[in-house]
Amino acid sequence: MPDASVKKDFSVQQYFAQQMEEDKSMSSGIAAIKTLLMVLERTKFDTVHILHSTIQEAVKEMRNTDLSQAAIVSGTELFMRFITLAKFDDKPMEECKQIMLHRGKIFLEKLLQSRSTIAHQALQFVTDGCRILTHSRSRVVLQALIDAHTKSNKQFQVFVTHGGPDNAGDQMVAELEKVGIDAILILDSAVGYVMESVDLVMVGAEGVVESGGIINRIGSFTMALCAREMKKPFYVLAESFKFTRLYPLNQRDLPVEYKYIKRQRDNFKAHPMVDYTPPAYITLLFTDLGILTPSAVSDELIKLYL
Amino acid sequence: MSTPRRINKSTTGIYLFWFGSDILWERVGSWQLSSVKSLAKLLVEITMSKPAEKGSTDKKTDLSENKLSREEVKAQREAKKAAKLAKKKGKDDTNSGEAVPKDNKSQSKDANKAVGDAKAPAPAKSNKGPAKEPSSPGKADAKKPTNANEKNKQTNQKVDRAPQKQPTKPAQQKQSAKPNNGNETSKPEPAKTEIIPATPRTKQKKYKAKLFNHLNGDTKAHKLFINNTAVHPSIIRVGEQYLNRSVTGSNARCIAFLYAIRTIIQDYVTPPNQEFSRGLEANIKNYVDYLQNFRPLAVSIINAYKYIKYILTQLPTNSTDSKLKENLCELIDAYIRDQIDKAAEAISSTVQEKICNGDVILTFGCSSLINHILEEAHRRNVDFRVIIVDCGPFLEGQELLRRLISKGISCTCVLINAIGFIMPEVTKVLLGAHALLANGYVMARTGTAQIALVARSFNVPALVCCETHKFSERVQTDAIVFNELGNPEDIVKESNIKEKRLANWQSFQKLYPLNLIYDITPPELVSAVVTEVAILPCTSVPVILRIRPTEILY
Repeated sequence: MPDASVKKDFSVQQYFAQQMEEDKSMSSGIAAIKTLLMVLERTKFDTVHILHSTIQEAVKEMRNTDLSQAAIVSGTELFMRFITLAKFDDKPMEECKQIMLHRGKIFLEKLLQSRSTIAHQALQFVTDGCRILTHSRSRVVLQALIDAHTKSNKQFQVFVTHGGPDNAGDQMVAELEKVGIDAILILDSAVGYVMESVDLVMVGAEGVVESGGIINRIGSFTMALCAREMKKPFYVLAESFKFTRLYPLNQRDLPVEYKYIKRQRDNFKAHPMVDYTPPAYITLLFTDLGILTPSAVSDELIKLYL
Repeated sequence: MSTPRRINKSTTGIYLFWFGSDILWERVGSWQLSSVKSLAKLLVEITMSKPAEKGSTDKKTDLSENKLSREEVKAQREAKKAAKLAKKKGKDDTNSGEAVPKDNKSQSKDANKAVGDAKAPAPAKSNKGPAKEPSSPGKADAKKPTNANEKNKQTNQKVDRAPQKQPTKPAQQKQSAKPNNGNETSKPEPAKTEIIPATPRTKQKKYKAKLFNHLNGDTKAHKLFINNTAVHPSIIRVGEQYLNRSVTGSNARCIAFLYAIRTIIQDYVTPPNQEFSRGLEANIKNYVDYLQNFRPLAVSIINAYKYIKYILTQLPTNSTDSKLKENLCELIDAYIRDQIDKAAEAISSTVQEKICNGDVILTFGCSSLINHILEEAHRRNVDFRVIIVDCGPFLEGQELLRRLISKGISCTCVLINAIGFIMPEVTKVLLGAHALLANGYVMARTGTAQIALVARSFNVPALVCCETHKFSERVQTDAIVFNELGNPEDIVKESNIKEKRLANWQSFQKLYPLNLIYDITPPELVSAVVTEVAILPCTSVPVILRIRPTEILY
């Protein structure tokens, strides 16, 4: 029983949580990929089928946590697509495993670099004296802003929303101020008020879907609507491992496991944790694949998966 | 000069009608030579957006290339020459009438002949252009040759109309005498030409001539073709089915076509001294050309035909005919199975994820694919209901309604006029499509664009379901450039169910019932396209076209 042997070796969930704990700046997607690599390394398997089911099992366990679902799903899917599902002809299983591990490590390294690539791309859009509105805390946005400030000495002002319910905006403001960026914390409900005075909006994303829209912390859609109404550019910063094969038609169509944390899924009065911003409201997406228009996201996804 | 002015105005008016702006029309109504610059600009835009315009193609290139300086000088020279020639020829009117339509020299001359009392204007106007040119032939007044061009073009327009009606008149008078089969009557000119005197007539046929003249509806007298011994009977049968609309819908037409081709292949006997595939290909080409007389080919048929041509070129040469035939028939069956049947299955299973309990699904017309999807959803015991929107003249929705009700799905049927009323309660719109164009526009039964527009304004997601064998590499942004004209009789018939007001509509001078078969829905109005490959935004159509496997990538 391969499944049993996995559990004896180590707990997927525990390792995953540990990864997230160790490095606060790591996305849950990356952590999931790291965890899968660990699973691959620790387990013994004789056939591809067993390998597949082991990995499926691990993904399932990770999805059972309360962390952002979208990135875990897309990250692991990408991992399976490129590491474990890739074809190996007539090679012993042990050799395959080594190749897979090697590939996985290259893949991970590439992913870890993606954030700085994005930060570099966003640089030209941040000008001296501009005012930027961002939603809650996003690691990519944070790095992009810090890079713009420290590496190219740009002076700008950042408005950060509180980002309920966990008020991650507080942390974002603290982190920005630490490097000397002028950051102002605003209420989530003040987005409309602030919008007329900002020059651009920059948000991160938990997942980028096939339509070119994004799934992100609740309130992003409101911000996009306001930005559209006030004719401000709405930029999304997201790594390409967040691209998901999902096509939501509207908010209702979002999968339940994305919207609610685990223990609230049956509670119909529960507050959704994410919302869906349709592509029509997004000006550009900065990804490690380049600066994309929303419609180009779908093209990239087709290239990846078809 | 008053007469020429008026005629020019009316021709300009047509262009502006195309442009869709009443205000502009008003403004240009009083145009003078000084305002020609802006008009020329406008015409550049218009001609660029109107590639199918007959006769003005050479002009168009002149105009659009104005930006390039070398091209510009060339254009000027050409315009000068043209104008001079026109002037010369204008004098000797006696020359013969219908020349090559693209040659604008002979056309402006034709104009003189055709327009009768408005004889002077064409050469007089075109004289003006060259008259001004020599004074400043530089880059700065690029507009002036354009003026000349544009005026020549205006005369062209006139000519386009003029020679058309005059020769057709005698022939069609005979036809219109007997109100025979509907296909003849779709050309309403005959009736008009009989009654109206010369000058109003020039104004008369604008609509048809300018906007929809390039579209051939089912105007051809198919009876003439029907007893054609050179054509395989199966093709004639298919054509007849297309014509009397017993086989409609992109998929059904495609399947009927492929079956006919299969019969042809089976019956084909290689003539002596000829290669199997070559002879067969030539034969099939003839048949397809012939089939076009009944109804313009659907995009699905064009794609299927391309596939057949492809597989014919891939045939091995060292095999026996019977084996090759078997091979071909298998490939055709595979095409039907993979591209149509399995694609429908795949699309259906994808859409199932989007149909959930409590959904109210609105659909338009009758699509075999939508029918399949809804039946499948019903089989899954999803609690949903369907609103079928129907519209004349064919009331195709009735067929879908009949099929769904027989399966026990709860349905509501409304006419398209009630779309604004019914839309608020809808949660999803499912639409079929005739074709998906490379720029993401959706070509579908007339009315689809309206449904999508209303859905968008009520913020209801609209899904278009379309198999990839209906994807086209054509680009089109309006429904005028390429479309199919139905029988105008169908529209009139419907509107006089109770009152016979329009019984003899051919006698109404200014009536042209326009029965467009397809319309174009812009991608902004479509939330997603569901194909057998994936759910996509409309803008990803080119990617799908690119990644199609080689045997389907023609």
